Amino acid sequence: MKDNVKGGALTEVTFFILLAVYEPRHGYGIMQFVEEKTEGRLSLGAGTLYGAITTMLDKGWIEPHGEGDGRKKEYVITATGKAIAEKELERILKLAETAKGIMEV
Amino acid sequence: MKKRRYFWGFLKAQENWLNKMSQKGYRLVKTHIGSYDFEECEPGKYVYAVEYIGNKSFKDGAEYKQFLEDCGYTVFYKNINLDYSFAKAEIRPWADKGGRIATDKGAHNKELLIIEKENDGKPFELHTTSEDKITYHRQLLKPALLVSLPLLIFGILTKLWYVILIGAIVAVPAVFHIVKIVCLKKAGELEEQGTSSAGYRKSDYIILAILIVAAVGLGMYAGKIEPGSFSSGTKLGYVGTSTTRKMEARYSKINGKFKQNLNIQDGALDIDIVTKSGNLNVTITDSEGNVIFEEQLGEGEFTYSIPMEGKARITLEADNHSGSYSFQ
Repeated sequence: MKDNVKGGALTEVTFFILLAVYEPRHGYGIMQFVEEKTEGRLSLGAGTLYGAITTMLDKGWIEPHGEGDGRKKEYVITATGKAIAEKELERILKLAETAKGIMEV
Repeated sequence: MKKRRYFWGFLKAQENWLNKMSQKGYRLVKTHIGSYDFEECEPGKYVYAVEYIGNKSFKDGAEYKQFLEDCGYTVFYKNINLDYSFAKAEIRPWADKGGRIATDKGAHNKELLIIEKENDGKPFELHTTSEDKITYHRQLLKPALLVSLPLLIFGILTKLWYVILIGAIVAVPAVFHIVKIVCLKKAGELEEQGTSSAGYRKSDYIILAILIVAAVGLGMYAGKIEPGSFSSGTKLGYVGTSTTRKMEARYSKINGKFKQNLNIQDGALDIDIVTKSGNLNVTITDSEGNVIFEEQLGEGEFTYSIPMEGKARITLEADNHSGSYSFQ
């Protein structure tokens, strides 16, 4: 899971992970969040999630939350991460608007 | 219940076997270097996945294991039987930085994770995006190639068929991973038509090219060996060529029995033998099996020319023979 960005857009998995950690969540919580919000359409494997979390930690989009004193490690979005997510939302809204204008729905 | 099993790097086979055990009502409770401990459970209650982590340092591997345990899975370490081992340290030139030298205390014999989860009816997939799957297969490709290619090259150079065989066996997973990577790339491109920026990596082509060259080399070599050639001896400092027309070699020492067929087409078989020390018995039979030449050669230089035509079967029996021979 090297590229979170593809042709200027976030991959769907990356965007969902960012959304999941708007409040602190551990790995399993993120997997559940994605499954729930997509009604099972997108299922996220633990290996893929771990790779994604590692790269996003490196990029500074998310950070560990709290003192992992024996408890499960939690992650939360950073200011950089939020800026990335907001940009993505803007892109998707613009795309939707363009589509609506053309398709007249 | 204890079960002994070796999988030699075939992770999928190991995974299938564990899942079959679970179907039969046996759950994994402990792993050892060459065996697994099971206890009885409700048939099919658990599903297993096997994952390679030998490219990670001990710390990264342990962190990943912790992450999976946090996800609610039970995780076991297992060894892979596919590394170069030197005494108590292993060298894994293919690994990520920090994972390249494994010591006994750390990642040694912990190259694999066996992950168990309670069966919820859904397939147990740890890697769910094609990009991530490609990365994973690339990590597995490296050790398989770095073990099999030197074995193949060494085997071809020394003409030791069993080294070639072992190299070829280890190459099977390598080919499997290459095929997987190529398929995943195709699938990935279909998913995101036009927008894909995940280009092909040069290294994939280089690896494929090396494998093809190795395969062609192997094929050419196999085609060159006469069906009648046979050796059960040892060779030291051996430099030689052998074709269907001639065989010659220089060496510091050979021992044992060597057989080779030659096809003589110019009316005579010329023999030159130099013995610096030791003994060399030479026996030559024609295509009907009649002995046409038999000599025991001690120290000295010997030259013979035997008038003949067609197939000659040459048998050399060397007793610490040092020197050279030439038959043509």
